[in-house]
Amino acid sequence: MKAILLALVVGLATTTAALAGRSSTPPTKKAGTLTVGFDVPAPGFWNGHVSGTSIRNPTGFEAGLSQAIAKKLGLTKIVYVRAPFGTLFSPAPKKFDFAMEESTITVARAKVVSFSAPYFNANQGVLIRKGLAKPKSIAALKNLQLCAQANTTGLAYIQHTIRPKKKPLVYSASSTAAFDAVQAKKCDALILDVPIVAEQSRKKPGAYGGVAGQIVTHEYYGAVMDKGSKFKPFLDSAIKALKANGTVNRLVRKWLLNPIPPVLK
Amino acid sequence: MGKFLHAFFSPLGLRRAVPQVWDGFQTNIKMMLIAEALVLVFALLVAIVRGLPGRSAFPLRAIAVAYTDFFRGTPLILVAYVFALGLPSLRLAVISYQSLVTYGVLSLTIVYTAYVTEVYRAGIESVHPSQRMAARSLGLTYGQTMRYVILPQAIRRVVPPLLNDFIGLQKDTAIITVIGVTDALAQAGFYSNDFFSYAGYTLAAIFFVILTIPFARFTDHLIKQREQRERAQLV
Repeated sequence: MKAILLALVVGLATTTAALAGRSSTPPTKKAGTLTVGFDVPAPGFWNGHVSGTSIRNPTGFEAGLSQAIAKKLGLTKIVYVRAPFGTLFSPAPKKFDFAMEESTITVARAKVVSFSAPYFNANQGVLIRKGLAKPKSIAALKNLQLCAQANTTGLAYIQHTIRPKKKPLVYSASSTAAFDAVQAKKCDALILDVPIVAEQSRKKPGAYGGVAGQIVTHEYYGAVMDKGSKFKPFLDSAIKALKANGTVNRLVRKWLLNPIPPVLK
Repeated sequence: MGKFLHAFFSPLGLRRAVPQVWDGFQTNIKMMLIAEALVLVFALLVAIVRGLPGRSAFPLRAIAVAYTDFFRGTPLILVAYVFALGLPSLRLAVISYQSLVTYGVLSLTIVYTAYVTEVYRAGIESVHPSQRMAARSLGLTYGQTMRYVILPQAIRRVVPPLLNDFIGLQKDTAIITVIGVTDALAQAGFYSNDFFSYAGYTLAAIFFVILTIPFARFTDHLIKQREQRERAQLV
């Protein structure tokens, strides 16, 4: 009798172990908890009040996406830690499972950190002045007075790809100066990251002629992890699944681009 | 003028910023208290080492001099960056796994210890040599002379300049914001970004001033007290 019982117990234990092994829980830093890195200010991506090293009731595109990822991976608890953008790209050990901080995936950065599958196309947006007919193509931008912020992808794109007839106006202090130029009609079209111009256009609806379109730059945002993180395959499959089922696009429309501007060719 | 007042001193803006800036200011207070306690102890140790007599103590003296020379001349912001970005990327046990606040406190302590060492040293040297000779001729050892004769007089004398350096340290906790510590200045920045109002910065300034004014008055009081005691006169 005893022997049968023992065999039963052993058998049961083996089956449970096998089952647990198959459903393999994601290897997070803290078991059962997803730790997400963020940084602010990032209106539209992370909204909410920072307190100490965390953020209270965050909303926004990246906040919503990390919540959707947690749900997909069956993690019930999320902890947010502020990971300053300036400290992100180094071999330093990370305090988070992944950080979503509008980080463009680059080869140089990928030498010290691991990137997830891309979750956002970091295209350039074209914000036009009031009263200007919407340009329908990249070629149509050539004849306009363009402007950009110094040291941005947008400026590089103007100088190397569009090559406009008139010299572009370059604002070095901040994006505010560039936005003011569009509002004052000193500039016909400002080229800057599409979520930034869309947010500005939404905040001051009467001031500009709207976002005329976006230019595909083949730059993507990816989540940042420890180099060689074991969490990467889990995160990648979650991001791919959320892209496939439309969750990512729904979040983009909700927090960043509504409507999604047409792609200029 | 009206625009300026509205941007920096709008009553609504100031009131609305209080919880957020206060949240960050607690981090400043924490950093300054820990750093001040550490600086008091370490600076005294370095000052004593710098004053050690004899040829055999030369290497120790040299290290102490090199340390104070180097860190008095290095900007705090640079030291903070080196610690906060450099130490973690080495991936060494313990020292690479600290919080940003810890790296901030570490940089404040190291830089200010170098300053305060000089303050202590000035105090020690201001005690007349005859005191030391008298103590030694009474049979006190070097250590006893320092402990019971020199340091009690020296420290009492340097309390005002010491407090002055601490006021500097309190303000400089705001520099630690650059490494990403969410202090009062960072919160003021987030606030201005959310509400297009600079009242958060004004409020942070008010917090710092509120903290340093009692300190400054206390320093004045100590100076006055010493004058009365040592010169036996009413000031």
